Amino acid sequence: MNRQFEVVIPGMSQLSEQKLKASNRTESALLSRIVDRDRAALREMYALYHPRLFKFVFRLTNSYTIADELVNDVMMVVWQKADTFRGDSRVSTWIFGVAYRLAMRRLTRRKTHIFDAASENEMSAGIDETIETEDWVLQGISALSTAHQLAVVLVFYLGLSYEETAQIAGCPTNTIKTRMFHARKKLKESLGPLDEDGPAREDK
Amino acid sequence: MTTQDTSDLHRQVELLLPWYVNGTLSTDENQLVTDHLDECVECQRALAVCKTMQHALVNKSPTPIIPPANASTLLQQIDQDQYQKRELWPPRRYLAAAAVLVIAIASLILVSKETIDLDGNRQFETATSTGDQGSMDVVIDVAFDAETSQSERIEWLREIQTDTKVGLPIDDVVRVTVRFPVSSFEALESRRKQLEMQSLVESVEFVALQVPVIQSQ
Repeated sequence: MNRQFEVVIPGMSQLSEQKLKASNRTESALLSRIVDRDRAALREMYALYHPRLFKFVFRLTNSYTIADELVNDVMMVVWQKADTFRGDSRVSTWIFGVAYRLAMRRLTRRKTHIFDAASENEMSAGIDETIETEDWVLQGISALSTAHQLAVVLVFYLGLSYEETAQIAGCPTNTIKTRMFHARKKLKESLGPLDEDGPAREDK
Repeated sequence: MTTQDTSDLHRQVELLLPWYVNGTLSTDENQLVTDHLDECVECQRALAVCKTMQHALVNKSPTPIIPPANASTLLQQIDQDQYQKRELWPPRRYLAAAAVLVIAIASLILVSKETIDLDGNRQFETATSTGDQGSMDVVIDVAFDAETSQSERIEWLREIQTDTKVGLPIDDVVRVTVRFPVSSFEALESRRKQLEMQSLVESVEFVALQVPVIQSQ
């Protein structure tokens, strides 16, 4: 049985199933108009998705410029490829799948690591400043491969189910589960034991 | 439960932990994980790692100030793509215009009316025209931007000095004859592009070329 999923951002109130269905109907109608080259429909879709997409790609790139460019690139693909949407997933899953692939390509090509800016901030914190456990975790995540980092962001930052994550990443659900397992394992190896006092480090 | 079953269950739960943390598991899966966590220290530690990861990403990630949605840049890019696609057309237009000119010059016998068939489907008439030297009378199809008003369309047609009578209201696509003060195809194409660049029109297409017909004695 095919299940339809919606992409939500953590912190937002959970939408009821009814509202999610209504939301998908609206977006499907917009997409049909975009197929007919309705520019007003594209503007509407852009306004609808801009906040979510911007937040997602900003989380990946930590750059306003790149996030802005990527959001435009995603919506350009929506304009050009609206007729390829088959309706076997929610519109939001399709659009975030496009965002995922474009971000993946951009990050891989630029050899940019997600959380690069955050990592730099932590490194410049100075040896006398306290680095919290979560800062170490972010640093550790930044050392993961692009595919692992993207999976981590989709699951923990966007709060997607494993079916949604797999659809967006374009892989089977077992693959995404294993990918997350290996990401956690690598993170644990790079950080050492995470106890109450934070990761083991030299006393200053 | 056999050792193998226990091992399989442990592995299954290990893989589900991130989604147990983000709260998206089904009721059954949730229960499965909860029950296993009661007895598995290893999975309890792994759960702690997942919670720390989620907390770090949600709480420690910089929250961007999201700029207002502005689709103008995107729409400009779309227009630019469409214009660039049209840029590929000029060579074909040159060929079409040259073919029309060759056919017209080849028939040097005066007739009051000539028909020039460009694509086999359309037949239209070109009136004889003495035309000034250094000018070309061209039949063009003008496609107006759908949002232009009637008065804007009338004004635009007046500016290009067409003497064609155009019925009102003016359609999105209208066919008119215009005398261009040019004497070469390159200049004609350049003029066409200039007209097409104007904000009120989507396209300007050549339909037919009128040339002075030499009267035979």
